[in-house]
Amino acid sequence: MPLTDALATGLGHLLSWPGILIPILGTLLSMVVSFLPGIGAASLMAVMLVLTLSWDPVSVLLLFGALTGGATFMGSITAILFNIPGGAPSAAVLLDGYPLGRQGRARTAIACAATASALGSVFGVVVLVALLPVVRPFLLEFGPVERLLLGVWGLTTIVAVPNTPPLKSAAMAVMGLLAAMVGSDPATGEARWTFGIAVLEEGFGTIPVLLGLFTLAELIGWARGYRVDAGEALAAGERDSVRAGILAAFRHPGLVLRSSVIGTLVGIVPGVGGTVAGFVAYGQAVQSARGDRSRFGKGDIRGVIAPEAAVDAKDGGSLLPAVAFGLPGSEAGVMLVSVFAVHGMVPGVPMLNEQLPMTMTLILALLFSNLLTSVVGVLLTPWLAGLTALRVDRLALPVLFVSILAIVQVNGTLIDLSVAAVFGILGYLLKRHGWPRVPFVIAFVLGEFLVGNLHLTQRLVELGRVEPLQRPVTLVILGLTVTSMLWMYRRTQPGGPKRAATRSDAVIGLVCAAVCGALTIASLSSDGPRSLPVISAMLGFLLMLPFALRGWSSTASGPAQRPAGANGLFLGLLSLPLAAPAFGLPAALGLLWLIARRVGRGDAPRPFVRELILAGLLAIGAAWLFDEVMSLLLPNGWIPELAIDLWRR
Amino acid sequence: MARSLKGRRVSVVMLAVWLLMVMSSARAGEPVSDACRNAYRDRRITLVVPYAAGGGYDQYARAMAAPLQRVSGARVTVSNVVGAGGEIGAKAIADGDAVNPRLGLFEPGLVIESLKDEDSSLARFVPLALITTERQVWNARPGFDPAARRERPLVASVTDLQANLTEIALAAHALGLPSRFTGGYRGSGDRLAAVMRGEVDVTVNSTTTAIKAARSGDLKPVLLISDAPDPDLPGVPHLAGRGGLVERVTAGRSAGERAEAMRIAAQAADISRVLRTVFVSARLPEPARACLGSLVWEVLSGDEFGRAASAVGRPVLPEDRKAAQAAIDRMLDGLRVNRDLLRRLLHEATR
Repeated sequence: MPLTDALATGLGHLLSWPGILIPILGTLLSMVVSFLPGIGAASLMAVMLVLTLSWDPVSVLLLFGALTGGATFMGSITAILFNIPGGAPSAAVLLDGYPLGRQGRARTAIACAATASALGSVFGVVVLVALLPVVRPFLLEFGPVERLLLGVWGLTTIVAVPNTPPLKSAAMAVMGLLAAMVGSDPATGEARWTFGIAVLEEGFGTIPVLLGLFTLAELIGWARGYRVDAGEALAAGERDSVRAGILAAFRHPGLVLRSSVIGTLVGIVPGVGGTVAGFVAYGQAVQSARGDRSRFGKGDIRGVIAPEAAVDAKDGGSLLPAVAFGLPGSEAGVMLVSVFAVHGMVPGVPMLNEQLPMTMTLILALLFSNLLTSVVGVLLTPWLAGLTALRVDRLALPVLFVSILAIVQVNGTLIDLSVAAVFGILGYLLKRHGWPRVPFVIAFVLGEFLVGNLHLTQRLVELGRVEPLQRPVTLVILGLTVTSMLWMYRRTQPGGPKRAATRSDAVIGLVCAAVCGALTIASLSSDGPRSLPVISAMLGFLLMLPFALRGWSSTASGPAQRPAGANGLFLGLLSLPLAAPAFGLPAALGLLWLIARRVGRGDAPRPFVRELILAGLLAIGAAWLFDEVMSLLLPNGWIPELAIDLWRR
Repeated sequence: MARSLKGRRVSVVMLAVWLLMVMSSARAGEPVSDACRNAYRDRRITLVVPYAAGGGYDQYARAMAAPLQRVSGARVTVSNVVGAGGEIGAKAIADGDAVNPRLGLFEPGLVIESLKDEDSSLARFVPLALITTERQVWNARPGFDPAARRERPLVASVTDLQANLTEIALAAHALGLPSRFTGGYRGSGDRLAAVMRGEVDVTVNSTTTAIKAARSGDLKPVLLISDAPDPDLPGVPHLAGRGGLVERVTAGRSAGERAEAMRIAAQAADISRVLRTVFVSARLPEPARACLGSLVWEVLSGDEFGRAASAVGRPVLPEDRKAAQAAIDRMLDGLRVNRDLLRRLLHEATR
């Protein structure tokens, strides 16, 4: 069937009455799930798969296209307003989106994100439709070799992070790679660097690491500056408007286009994910920015446009493996493949020929969902932006609790809380002492992807099954990477004002060098594949050592000391990884409330009994939420278990 | 728009097969006593799936939830507990108690370390029933012939290096084929894509997945790891037993060699079955296990679950506690007997 006829039929399905209500319902459902932690998108789709068994295929595709469209943008709203990425793909937006919000430009940031999201989505779908006739041979060109090189290209964007010495960026990138390697070797399944802790065999989760490094780190920073910032209300600046945000996206057409290309490409390659798309697009935005680049990370609107466009462009590309081959390239793809099977759709040649109208229905529903989310987002912007006027101290605890929900909801385990807390403290220290977090995050996000594909590439070359230099796409990506690095080398600024090494640099350098040294020894003494882990750990050691040595002899101590005094939120956060296994998470949250509200307050403390009652209600509410809504099987806490055992005896 | 005829035919065939099997099943479990039916009223039963939402076990669990709630009077919820290669979910199941029990849906291979001499991982659990037993299938590009003589070793894509030892390396050994593994692919989709790209020769999947993968025409099931043909896979040769591929390829060999190859093929077919099992913690006392076993049996052999599972393309061929335990014991015995050979094959496959 001709493409135009299929497109017209798909459009007819979408705009029919009452058919149009289905993608609207799907979009709204997806928006709520994205905005509120507690119900994962994957679980929602799994439930809908069962509930829609008796639906006709058109209605099902309209619904799942809308759910796959995923309302990713909603995660960006929480990132901009509260520094909480609603999902891992939204983490890159908070780098500049959140500072914009804090500067009183929340309307601009949200409207700009919505517009970039819509533009990226349109691009992704246009490319998807254009590629349909050649999608099958095109997809088959992307194997482990190509994916490895894409990952390497993504790593090169780290070098472009402005205002940081290249050596620090490189050192943090290596640390990010090392963090990504903790867990299991992708080829053998053997544990690596878990030091006997079984739950670490899955590695550090992306959400706990991102929430820790950015959200929790920011909260700790808030809390430690509480007496300085308390009471300041942020008013909307004169430049803050929805119109300014929408126009900003259109004023950077080249950036939107480049970011959309990155997002689409990432979406096409199975197993890469939106998080990679967002950060790589951010890196290339910095890399290719004309004019002043010093505002990146401090509220540059381009830092919102790039990741937003990329993440939404990815959605279109991610449909391709499922449609073309029936192969799930993502979590959503798993559901889609099941939907196809249940409702009689055949991926591959049939869905690209006689069932093409159904494919178009799915694609158009996805586009509709993305556009509707952007429109709703823009309409809600004035109200949402008003949330930034709330006092920082009043936001801190709610933001912390929502972050905790988001963290435990991913895998339903307490270890993720500990991971987030550790990375939260690490992120705070890094930010305070002038060490960049973005290279760490990009390398961490790309790390597992790189290591896995490196192993596969090595093995396939060993077995004589691939010859990398004879693959055209490999050569193209290699050329792209080299060009990108040369371009950056020519454009890289001296790294901003020179800053002398400080004692705090020495401490961080020493600790990291010690960690790298320990990991090197651990790798050398293991039996599993070790060349890449050993090389990475040794490289980390060599990169960190100069900071340890130079900073030690420095007389500069680091950032000015904060006012002394106990800090409730910080202490509460530190206590959580210990209190949760001991008392159970609901009780630990109640304890956190008490500590945060009672310790280190500058104003007169509220009555203890009232705080105790509130803490108790919070604990009960949390228990209900975890049990009844989220169906999590969290441990009860060894202290209550011990008490029950003793009682029974 | 009407469903495609092909899709509808597959669903009808699967429903008919399921109905036939249920009606002819000689393995009727224990009937549910009144005391048992009231034992969990107003309590909570959690179906724990140590895999991500949306996969096969998750679909089975969601299909089970409503009928189990109806027969038991308990509130039944589904919980996906992933991580540490399934160990976190397994621990959550093993920690369950008799008051608000947790039933786990997984295959024994999730917790068994097949090459360890002493492995008591599975001892934490007791099987209540088998949802179904599936065979595994080699998938390859059309035109691939597993019986053809090869100059180079057979290369297979696997998720991790121990994951498919019996169904690939052992089966290939029975056929006289040296094999090599390429490990680190993420999930069955990635492994199948590797076959399509020509990086590897074969990968292995359950029968259900193989049938779905073959619908696009890019892949073809080429060998069923079984001792008998499967009516859902017409024309696909089976590995072991009479008329199997091993019998054919060893036709010219000595009697001793042939007998050994046939034995290994039979073991591969036996060990590599996918036993989709409902487990409960071994901590529970026997009366609780018996009661839960009878409730689960009633659900699995009932119409409601069968229809729900069939509608999402999942086969159902339930077997009771005794049959489930016997199947697991047979698998464990096979692993024990062939452990040294499996270690040697793993060493060769990773060269």
